[in-house]
Amino acid sequence: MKMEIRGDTLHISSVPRLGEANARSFRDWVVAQLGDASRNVAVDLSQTTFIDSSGLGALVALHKAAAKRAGNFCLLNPQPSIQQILELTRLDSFFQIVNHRDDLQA
Amino acid sequence: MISKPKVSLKCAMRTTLSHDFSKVQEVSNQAERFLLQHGCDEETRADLELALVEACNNAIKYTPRLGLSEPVIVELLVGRAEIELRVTDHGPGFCLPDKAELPKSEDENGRGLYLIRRVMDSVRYERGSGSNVLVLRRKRRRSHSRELGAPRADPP
Repeated sequence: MKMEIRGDTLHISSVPRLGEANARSFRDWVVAQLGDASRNVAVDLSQTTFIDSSGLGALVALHKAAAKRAGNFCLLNPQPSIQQILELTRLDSFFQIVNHRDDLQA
Repeated sequence: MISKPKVSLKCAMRTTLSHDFSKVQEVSNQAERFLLQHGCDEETRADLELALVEACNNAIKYTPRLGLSEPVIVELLVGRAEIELRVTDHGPGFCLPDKAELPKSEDENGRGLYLIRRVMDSVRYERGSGSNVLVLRRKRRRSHSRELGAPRADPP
């Protein structure tokens, strides 16, 4: 997993899988990185090939953590299989999903 | 009483899983290879992977320490028309709700059974003496589209 700070946005990428085995540590680690300087969170899902209900829960938790800091949360470039799971759970309308990195307006 | 796998589903994979979430991916990879060997298409494999992972996570999560000596058993039976996934746990079991409601978007938990019901054609949980089995079935080629809406009810 990679983390980068771009302005006031915490940019997370290279997350191959997001499931029960790592969802909680992923969530806690990202929340711990949020400080005064970074209040927005962008999770790049372009390298993510699998997500389960625990992984979805971690993303919801990060959405709430960003909102608590009056920041934005968005998902970048989810693969079709991940997009389908977001649609099945109707989280596609809850999360901001951006499909081209350059379009990100954090 | 726990049912036996359907005899028409002859190609089988059987493996055990210790109560360790980090081991679920190994079983999932093994199932993926097995399904690939038997010509299952990508969508079927992805659906089975999700259902298997959710079912195994639940089996680990809800087995009390007393039942930890008995591993979770994962069986995959592939027939020409359908696939049966059986996940056996040795915990006290749970009541499978008739419908799996989708939680509110801001809820962090409660989507596992909903996802299982959405990607599989039938879901049954058989509670026995000392063990329970979650029986999930899915047609190999789905004729219906996966549109949003209420989860499908189990067939009678």
